[in-house]
Amino acid sequence: MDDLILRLKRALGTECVSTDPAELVAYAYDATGLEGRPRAVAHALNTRDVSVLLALADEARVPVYPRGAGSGLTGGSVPSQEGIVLDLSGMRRIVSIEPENLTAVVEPGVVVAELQKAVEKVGLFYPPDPASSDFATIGGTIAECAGGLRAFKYGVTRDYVLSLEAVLPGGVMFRTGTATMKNVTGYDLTRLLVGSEGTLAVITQATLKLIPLPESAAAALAFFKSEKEAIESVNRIVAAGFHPRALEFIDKNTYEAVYGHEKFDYPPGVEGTLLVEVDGPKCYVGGALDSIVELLRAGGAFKVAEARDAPSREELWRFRKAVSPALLSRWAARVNEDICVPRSRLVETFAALHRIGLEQGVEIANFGHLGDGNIHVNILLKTHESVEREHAHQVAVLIFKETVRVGGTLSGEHGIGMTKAAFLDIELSKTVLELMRSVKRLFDPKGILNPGKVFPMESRGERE
Amino acid sequence: MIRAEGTKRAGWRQRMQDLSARCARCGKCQSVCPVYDVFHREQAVARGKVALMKQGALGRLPAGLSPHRWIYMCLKCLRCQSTCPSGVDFAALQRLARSRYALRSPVPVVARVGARLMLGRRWLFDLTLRAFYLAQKAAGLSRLPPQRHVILLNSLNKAVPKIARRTTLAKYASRERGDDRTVAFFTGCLMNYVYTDAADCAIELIRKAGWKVIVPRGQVCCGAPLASLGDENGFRMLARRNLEALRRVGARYIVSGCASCASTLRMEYGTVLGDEAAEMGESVLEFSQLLDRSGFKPAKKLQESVTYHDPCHLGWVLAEKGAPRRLIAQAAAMAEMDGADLCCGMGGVFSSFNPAVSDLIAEKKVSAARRTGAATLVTTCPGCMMQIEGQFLKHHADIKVEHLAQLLARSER
Repeated sequence: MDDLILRLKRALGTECVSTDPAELVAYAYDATGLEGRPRAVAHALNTRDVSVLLALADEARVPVYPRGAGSGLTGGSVPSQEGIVLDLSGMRRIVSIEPENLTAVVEPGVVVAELQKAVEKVGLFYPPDPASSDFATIGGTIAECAGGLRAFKYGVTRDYVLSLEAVLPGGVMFRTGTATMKNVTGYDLTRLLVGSEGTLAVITQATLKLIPLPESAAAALAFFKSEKEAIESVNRIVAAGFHPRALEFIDKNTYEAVYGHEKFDYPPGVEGTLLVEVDGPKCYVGGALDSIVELLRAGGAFKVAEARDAPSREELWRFRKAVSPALLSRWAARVNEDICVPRSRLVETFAALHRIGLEQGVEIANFGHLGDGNIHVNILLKTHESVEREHAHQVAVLIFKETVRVGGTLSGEHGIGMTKAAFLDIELSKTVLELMRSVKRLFDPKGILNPGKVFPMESRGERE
Repeated sequence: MIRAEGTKRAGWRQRMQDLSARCARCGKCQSVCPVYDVFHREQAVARGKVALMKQGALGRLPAGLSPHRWIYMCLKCLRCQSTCPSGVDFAALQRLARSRYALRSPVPVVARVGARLMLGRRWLFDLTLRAFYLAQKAAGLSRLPPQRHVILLNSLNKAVPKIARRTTLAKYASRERGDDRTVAFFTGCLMNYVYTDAADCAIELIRKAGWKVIVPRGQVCCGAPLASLGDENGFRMLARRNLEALRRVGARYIVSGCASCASTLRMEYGTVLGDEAAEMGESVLEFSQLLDRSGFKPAKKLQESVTYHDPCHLGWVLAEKGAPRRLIAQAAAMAEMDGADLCCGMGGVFSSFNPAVSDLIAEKKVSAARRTGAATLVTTCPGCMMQIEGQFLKHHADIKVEHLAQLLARSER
């Protein structure tokens, strides 16, 4: 290991390879609370750096953990054993924006919000918008296939990645796909890399698809006295032929936490709220919102707040964005899952969540992107004690089983990482798991790239 | 004796642990931290520093000076705290860490001791600055535009505006008592010794807005520099003296023309002095907030293009971006700059000890101000004024720097 670090310092420059103890503390975590201190942190500035590092690390069989902003929610960038963190946040150039092709070429360290701002200046739009877009990097959001708040209409990160440049363990650089809207030449390795959580190759450049910036947007926040009515309104809106870009739900527990946390001029005694946002040409948006408000009222909403200009829209979103801090201010901690089910099974899923919460004696707050069937299930903890957390994880397993039963998935947008690796076989069959493992071995025969992620722990044993 | 020492240690460790446990490690502070923007290293941003402090709370801070260098690599602009979804009190954590690890601080001990000696003794502070005034006068510097800094010997990147002949306190300080229509004016150091013209303007305008102004005798430095230097006891001492001097007046509001002083008085005194100080904090307003709330209207609108810089401690910590803009819009033609709420890079003592980093942060401010084509940059913090004047001088940008009070006073004439 020490020998490798020495060689890395020689190859990348001492300022790019750090063993500063303060730095090792700071690169030990992500947003999960998991920790694993690396032996060194390497800051790549270009593809060559990544290539050299992966060649040397592969030769020395030392694990490498690629990292963007460290804002992941499943431990995707946290060292699971002794190794080197590969920080890609220094590769932060927007290489080009091509309005004619509706594409942008970016390095992995570009922050999502910075790309969004840059393309919006020229009338273009990069729709994937995870709640962390102000600091999450493009590389990280591709590796985790981040979703976010506009996925119902616009899809998720994978729908906007056309082509990738990446480096294999061993240091060989390759490109997948082309900067074209269509491409069926060979297998779709681009899609394989999207969401691979840094276990197959290190992404060093991405060609992203853009779309024209919608002319305007309008939103409505509806308050219901019944959770079921709120959920059913989602299908009501879809059935009426509307395609809102956001359909966000907040349940009673979440609402009460927000209500007590910040000042909002909203009614008490709410069992469910729905935030709907439509966008498109000005001539369409106003009328569409009218109809949607109509539908919401008919569906049982006793109050609907409308927002037809940017400042009032922001006010509604401020409410939605207050959710996580509000929960954390009321509860000591939370176990945050992000299951995703077919829209038609939402009512059933919520009923099951309530039943599990009641039976297990835990408080659960649910909110999320209901348009996508994506529910953020937050099991709330009163203390930081490990007994309580352990129990919450057992509850999560029950929830996973129920989710899979209705045809849903363990994770809609956070990824599997370390936190859910043990539960992969709840959803995936033996055959599929073995196929996935084979793919992993093909890309990374020595198992040096982000080990301990995605697959249950025994994959580490195989490495030896 | 040994046991007493032990419990004391457990006390601060526990507090550090409690404060750092709030961090949910989301990473949002990366999006606002000016220092992270320069280094792009996790230990430069609040989340990384909190991780270090968490280790410190467990007694596992890595050995060596590096953790301390990084903890001090902070402007204390508190943009991270203002944007933190989990409500981490980063100001308190910084004060705690700096005071607890004072011996391993990258700031020379002499600076800390010197600052405590001077800031706690008005006569000595007066005398020292008087000496500088005379030295400047003798050297003929006072007739020149702002000079390179000669006071803080290690900070050659700052401009030192000329030291005033007569301090604001010498001119106004009194032991008068006030009532419900009275404002107690807190000068702060820079508006006492350097920007006395801005202080004159501010006091005159507050009077015009219908208030009686009392500048309480006995007020001292707000203490922020001592807190930054890791002298928590010194900070508490100054806070207590100010609390006494200001409360005695019995005014409706306590107002400062310095955004940093106002935010320290309002947000931080409560954490060192308890409820009494927290209660007083609620009556603290920054100058533009008072004028805006009093419905002040400038007499005329100047035919002049002005741009505005949000001091971090006003725009972020006190979350006030509207009041100064509403006032400027009535007094001149406002030309908004890109990133008006980006830090200027001053950070009190930060810029003295990290001039190169401070310069890098300031460069964006200079070019953004230039692009507006404005003749004047207005702000409401004398610290920002000093930094930006110096940077304009360095980059040969021909833009005048004014306190909001000075602009408004001109529109009154």
